[in-house]
Amino acid sequence: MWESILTKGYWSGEIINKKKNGEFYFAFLSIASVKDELHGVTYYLGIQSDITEKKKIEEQIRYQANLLENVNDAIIAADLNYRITSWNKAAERMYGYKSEEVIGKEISEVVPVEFPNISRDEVRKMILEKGFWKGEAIHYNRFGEKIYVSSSITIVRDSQGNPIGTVGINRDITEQKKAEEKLKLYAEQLEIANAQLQELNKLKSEFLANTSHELRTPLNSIIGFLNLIKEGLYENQEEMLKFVDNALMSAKHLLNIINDILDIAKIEAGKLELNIEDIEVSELLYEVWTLSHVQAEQKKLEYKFIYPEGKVFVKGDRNRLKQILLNLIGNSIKFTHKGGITVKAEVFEEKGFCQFTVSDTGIGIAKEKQAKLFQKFVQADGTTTRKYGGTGLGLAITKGLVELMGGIIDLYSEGEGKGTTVIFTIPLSRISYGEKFEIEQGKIYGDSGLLILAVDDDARFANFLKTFLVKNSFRFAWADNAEDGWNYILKLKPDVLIIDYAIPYKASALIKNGFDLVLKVYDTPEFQDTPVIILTGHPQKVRELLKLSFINFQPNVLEKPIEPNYLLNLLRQYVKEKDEVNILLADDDVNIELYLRKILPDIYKIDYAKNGREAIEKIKVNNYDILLLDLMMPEVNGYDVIRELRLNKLAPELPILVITNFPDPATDEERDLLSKSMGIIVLDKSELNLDPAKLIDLINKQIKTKQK
Amino acid sequence: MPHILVVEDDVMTAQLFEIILKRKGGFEVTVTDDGEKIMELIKSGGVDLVIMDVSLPGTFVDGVQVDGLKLTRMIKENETTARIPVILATAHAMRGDAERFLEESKADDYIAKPISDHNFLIQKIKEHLKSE
Repeated sequence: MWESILTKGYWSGEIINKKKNGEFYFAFLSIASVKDELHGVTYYLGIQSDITEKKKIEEQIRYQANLLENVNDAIIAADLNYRITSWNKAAERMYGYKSEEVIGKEISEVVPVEFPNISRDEVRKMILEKGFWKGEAIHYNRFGEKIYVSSSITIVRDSQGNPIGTVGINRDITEQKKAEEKLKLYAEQLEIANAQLQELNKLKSEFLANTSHELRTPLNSIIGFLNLIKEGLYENQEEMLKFVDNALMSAKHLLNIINDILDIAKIEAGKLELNIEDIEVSELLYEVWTLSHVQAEQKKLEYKFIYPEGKVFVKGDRNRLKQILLNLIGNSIKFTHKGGITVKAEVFEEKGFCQFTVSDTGIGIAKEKQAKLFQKFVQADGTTTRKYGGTGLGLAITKGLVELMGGIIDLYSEGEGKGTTVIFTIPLSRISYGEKFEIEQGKIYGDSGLLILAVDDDARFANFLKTFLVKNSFRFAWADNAEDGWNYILKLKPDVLIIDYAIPYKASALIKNGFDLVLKVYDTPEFQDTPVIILTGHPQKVRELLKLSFINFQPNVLEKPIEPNYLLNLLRQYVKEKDEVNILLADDDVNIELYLRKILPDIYKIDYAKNGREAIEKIKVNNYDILLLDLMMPEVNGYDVIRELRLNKLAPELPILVITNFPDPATDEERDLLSKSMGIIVLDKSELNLDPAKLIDLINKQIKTKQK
Repeated sequence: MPHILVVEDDVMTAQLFEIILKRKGGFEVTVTDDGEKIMELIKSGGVDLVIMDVSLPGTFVDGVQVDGLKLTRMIKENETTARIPVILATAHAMRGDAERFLEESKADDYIAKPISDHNFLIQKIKEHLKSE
């Protein structure tokens, strides 16, 4: 102070003074030296004013400003031309722009907005007329992301009441909106599930009613004719025998119905055990023909069988396969009044199954009824006055049996009157071809690499995978059914799963087909991140199931036969995915970190240093795959970091990607530091915003160069 | 001799009804599930009582498929035929079926299949014939 007075002749400033009563107060003090020509400085003049009140107001303003800065709502003030005059911290976080980037810009240039049922201009008109607008809107941030906001915009007036601008308070309600949407989705799903349950319940009641009706009808004849005999109401011996025959016939019909009900009950309860053996297809078809052709001929229908070429073996239960075919053929005969029925068996060796087709020129089925037909208790004509009788169990039983044997079944009809085609598949038996495979279930083949577990009943395919994958640096294990597959997943913890869809299963198995297994995997936290490839001869079926299930994941669904190199590329992708990329980002701008987290896939783990010094400390301790480096940073800048890492050899090999607003170095030394010989690539920040993919590409390139 | 019309599609049940009603009840019996023939017989005035099955998938009147309930209603809603007693005989015998069917069809009575006691059937028919 005295120095200033002596050299400049004056001083002024704020001081804290003490009153006589000991109270402190803020004062503004000016001291000037007063001098005359002769004597120089003669005296000092001090003027002091009490500024305690002013100080208080300032403090309050600062406090309020601080409040504005620290609230979580984005508060944006603008002048009457909607040019931004104030932009708080929350706005910076919410929209990704720093205050200095946006001050003076028109709001609509910075924040794109969608209002529900109203335009921006209309909102502005309302603000001018009413003084405020309140409502929900969708904003977009710097990265083009949607933000749901609850927004309230008020006009700001001067002391005379003239409007001088607007202030908008925007609360981010995105999470709330998302939660609401989720809730809505859950409610919808619940409704669907509830409707399904009700439908099932209704079907059960209908089934009971139908079953009761179907049991009572033959019983009526049995009791009736026996009563006639008992009461001697027959005219002669011959008629009595006819009555006995009628009762017997009805009893047999009753037995069939009961068998159907027992079958479906057993399938439902998981108690139907199959006797699986290798069955020669042509032999099977011929047997079925002998059992059914008379019925077809009686209805004067053309009855054609198309046999596969050569000897083909499937894995199945002989009696149940006959039951399946006879049921389908029986339906065709029942529902076809003219034309004919064709039964065909075709081999799809690469897909690993034999496909059976039963098609007719009968009454067909309306499209909307087709999907339900395989459900038990359902008949296309579900009214009480069904024309064709039956229990409505035949197709449900058939489907259950086909799936137990590891096949799928589907029904097609162009509509009523247009005939019906039923197609089902049964796995081929490889052993019967005389092939032998040296592959054992649950054994790990190969020494290193990701462990791939294949769950597929096709031993030949598994054997191929074993050889192919081990040759290509993977390890391989195999299970031939879903339940063992699950046990091996628990035991071996494989890195990738290759799962077939239709796999034979034991009746008591809880995890039946590949899809059950996939659901189980995704349901188990420990394994839900395991990549799954569903490799199947029935990709359509699997995609339908995926669509119907309430699960939000997308496993790869590939169709058999698979191009081996395609599978290999897919698996290699998982190799990369398993390795994380550890990135150190050094940048004083926090937004860059936020931005990178948004654009980079999860495998890129980002560690953040807010300046060069922190970056160097982190590099000393941690192991990074790449350094993303800003040049302009306080204290220790980017060039300093490069000097430390390269010239002082702290980390001569660490790939560096420089991301900067000022890509042109100022001095020769800086130019040298950024040269390619230092193993450094420079990326302009503006490019980063334009093309995020380029960054990922550059990161990957830098890492690869290092690996070489 | 009272004339009983039996509307029944199941061949064996039809045969059974015919024998029981003729030999045990001593009635004149016509069995059919042909819709046009049923309506013609009813309207001719020659039918004293109808035994009506409910499930009749093959029965049509004027080209429209009708079940036993609809047929009964047609009989009951026509003044000239309304007085003919109709007994529903059906294998739909779940709880509530009888009440529902009677209400819907306006039939006079209901008997569940299997009919285990033929005398009971004959008695029922005779009662309805008397009260007519």
